[in-house]
Amino acid sequence: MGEIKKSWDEINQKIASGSAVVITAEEAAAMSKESSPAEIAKKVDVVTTGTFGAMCSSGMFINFGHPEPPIRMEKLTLEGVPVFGGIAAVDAYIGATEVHPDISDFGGAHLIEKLIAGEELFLKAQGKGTDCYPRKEIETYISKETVNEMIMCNPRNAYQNYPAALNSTNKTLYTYMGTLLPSMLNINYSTSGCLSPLLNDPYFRTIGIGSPVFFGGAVGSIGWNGTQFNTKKPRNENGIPLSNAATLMLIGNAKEMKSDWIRAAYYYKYGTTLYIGVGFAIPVLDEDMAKHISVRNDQIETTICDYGLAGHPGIAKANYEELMSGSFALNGKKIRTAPLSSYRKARVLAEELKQAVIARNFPLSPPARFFPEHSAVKGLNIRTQKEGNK
Amino acid sequence: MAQKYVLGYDSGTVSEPILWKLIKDFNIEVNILKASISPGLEGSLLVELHAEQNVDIEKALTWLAGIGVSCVSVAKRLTWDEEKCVDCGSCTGVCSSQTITMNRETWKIQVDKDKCVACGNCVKACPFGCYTLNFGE
Repeated sequence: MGEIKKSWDEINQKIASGSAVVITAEEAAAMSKESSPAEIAKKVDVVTTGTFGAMCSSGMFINFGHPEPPIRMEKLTLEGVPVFGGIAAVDAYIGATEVHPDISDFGGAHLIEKLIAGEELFLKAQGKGTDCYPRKEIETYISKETVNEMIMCNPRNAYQNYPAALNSTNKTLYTYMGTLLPSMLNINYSTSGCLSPLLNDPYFRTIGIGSPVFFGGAVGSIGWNGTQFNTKKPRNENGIPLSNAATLMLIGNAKEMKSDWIRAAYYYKYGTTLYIGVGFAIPVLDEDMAKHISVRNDQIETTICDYGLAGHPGIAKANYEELMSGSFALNGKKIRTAPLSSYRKARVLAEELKQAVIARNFPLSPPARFFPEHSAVKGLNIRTQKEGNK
Repeated sequence: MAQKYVLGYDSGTVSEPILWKLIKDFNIEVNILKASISPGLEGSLLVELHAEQNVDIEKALTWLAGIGVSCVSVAKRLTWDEEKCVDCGSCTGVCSSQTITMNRETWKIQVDKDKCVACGNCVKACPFGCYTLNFGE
């Protein structure tokens, strides 16, 4: 028996004829305990993944439409939250982490959540007034129904793995990794383990620029690699990077998104962020892909980092079976572990995506282009104006 | 049976040593779990009260109310907005009393209000504002 190989076309034909076998990545992981990659590649055609977690680097382009006479909107707020207006006249960008100047737990993420839910928001904008855009001020209400486009465009989403966090100091830290109690009392982690999208195709054979993505309940696209895209992180024997590695820039029509999959959140003393549902349907092209999509939680490892120390150094390695068990033993001490992304919602997402693939409501298509093979992340050096640019 | 209460009082109205009275006069076991007392101003105590007979606790609560001490069962103090909750689990790592736990079959949050010691960690840890706790109101 030769090695099994299936093309994208063959898999799409099976979906069209209703004979494709589509399962979730969690089901595939369970299958790997009894079946070999060759057997899985033979049996399974498509595997669906999912995650529902905080994705801070998110936001939405919005076009308000022109009033009469028109305005070049330069300084804008929606419900008092500053919105970026440094793009053409009535275009703007709502950043998820932009916080209301007086209300610390309300920000851009909430504006996005409200717009998707169909609520009206109060817009206030000013411009200097030009010959072509004479109006200087406007105050009005806008909603999903009144605006032209609402295009979610997130520069850095769906991290391929992320370090778990704890705190060795003697005071509580409030971070983007949640509340970290003193004296290493808890460990927080934020990845949906075996369901996590980019851990099921760790070398990006099927996911790349142009790939369709379940994005906030709509079908979006990968626009580009995400910011801080890192191919240099060490990997374990299963190809899993041991800390935060690849990222995705995701684009989609926010008017089609659903409140179930886009939720505004606030991390105490950190700021606002957006919880987003993201998932991919991955074709099982061959044994190599079968091995990747059936990766189990005990085969996915991450680094535990100490947020109490400068630079958040890694102090231990853990796998997701351990992290998801509720406690992790570190230096003989049992530490409580907790997730920050919803595994329940990740499961629901993967199941919804499975049904969508079967019903031909979610397309499977190869990437238009692949991600960069070599990409490192730089830091930022500090230089005074006196030292000048070199 | 033991029950947890938040006792709130201010020095203007309460001058009696209330815990001593609860023990001596009402035969109640008092376990202090959290105390927040500003001298000469007000006090807020999280206590666990235990008595052989429930009627003793009822008598004690009546007496406390009579002298101006507010007394609210902790089980009633913690509220969890299940509708709003997405079961992310952020709250489960900071709850030392095991009030909030994750069901690792369904991956849903479970809240057992009777175990709550009103530490307030969940209120800060929840990214969606699902918990409220009014300690020492």
